[in-house]
Amino acid sequence: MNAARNEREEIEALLPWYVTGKLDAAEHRRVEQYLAEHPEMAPLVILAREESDETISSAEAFGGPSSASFDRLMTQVANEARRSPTVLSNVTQGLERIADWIGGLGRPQLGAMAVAAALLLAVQAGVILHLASGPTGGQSYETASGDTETASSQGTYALIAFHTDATAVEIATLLTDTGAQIVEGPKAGGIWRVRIADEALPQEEAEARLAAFKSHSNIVGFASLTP
Amino acid sequence: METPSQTVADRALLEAIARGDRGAFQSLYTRHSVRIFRFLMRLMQNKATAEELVNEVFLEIWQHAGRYEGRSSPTTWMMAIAHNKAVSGLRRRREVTGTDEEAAAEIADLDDDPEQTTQKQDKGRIMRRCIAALSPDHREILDLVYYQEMSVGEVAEVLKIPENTVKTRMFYARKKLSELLKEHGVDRGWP
Repeated sequence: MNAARNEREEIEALLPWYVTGKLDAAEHRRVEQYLAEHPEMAPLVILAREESDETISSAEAFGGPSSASFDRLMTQVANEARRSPTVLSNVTQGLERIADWIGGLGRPQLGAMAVAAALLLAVQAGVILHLASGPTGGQSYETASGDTETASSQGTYALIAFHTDATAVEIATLLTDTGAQIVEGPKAGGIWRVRIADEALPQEEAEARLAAFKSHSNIVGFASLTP
Repeated sequence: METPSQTVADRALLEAIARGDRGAFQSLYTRHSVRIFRFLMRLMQNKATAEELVNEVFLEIWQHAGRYEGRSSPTTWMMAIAHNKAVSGLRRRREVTGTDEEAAAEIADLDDDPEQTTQKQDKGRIMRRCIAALSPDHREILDLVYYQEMSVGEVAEVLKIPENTVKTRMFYARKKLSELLKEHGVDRGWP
């Protein structure tokens, strides 16, 4: 009797994942078989489906993040990129390797740890000095490739302002689909400096590339080529 | 949830982001921001707060993509970050207001709509209202299972709880939902 009740409870507990198709094959077969043998359980499957439908329906009603939210994020990312995360990451990995090396030392070698600790302090001080010094003159920024380049680097650039009612996903999708990347901004008036090609395109080709942006008039409010 | 090919694509995007590739970051944002926003909206019930937390999630991804080790799928990893941000957000709200809940929850469909008169529409509306009235823990697990379509194991990874606890929490969330529905005149005859 208890075993039967336990099995029913176990099957009941699995029904939400049964209706979303997220059980593994063995569990799915087990639930299918139990339901076939216990047709009185069918209404419980319907209940789980109703819950699923309404959870999805209410989630869809939430919509998505706004373009203003995306602007704020990209501003933060641009600021973060100026701090050159790759340098920090490389140094952190170096520190981890040193820590691994210390961990591998035997007891007779532990005396060397003081030297290693001093080395760690020296490296950390170097990192802090590097970060504190910041970008040179504010003219450099981190690019898509992770290399620091100056504002006069190769590439074709445009100044673009997005409509305030465009959604964050619409903007990100347009940038992704066109292979463009925000490199600076926003400047006054919500204008971003966007790299629209990795190489310096001839004027005609650059204007055609820009026109492709302008054709998304529901997303792009202003677009103009810039050096 | 993702197909295997989407998972491979997301892993590649995370690798590129770890190298500072902003184009890859935009792609990842395009693919996942809405889903993460809706999860956070479900928990926080306030658009401004949910947007703020989405940005916190993606900023953390930008900063720490290199820490993704591939032990779980990228989606599970990102949803775990979102869960942690929501927990922190709810804690901050509790410290300020003494409650987890938003004073005026911005949940769609809370008001009566005179045009929705059929019994089926009414039941759906009441259910959405009752889902919104559940505790954050219960709203969260319903979202992870039904909207995010995560398996028991994936939910366990996001919430960092045992798989049996996932099943138990889901059971109690559904039980509570039934109780709320009954209070609003919808008797589901379960549990």
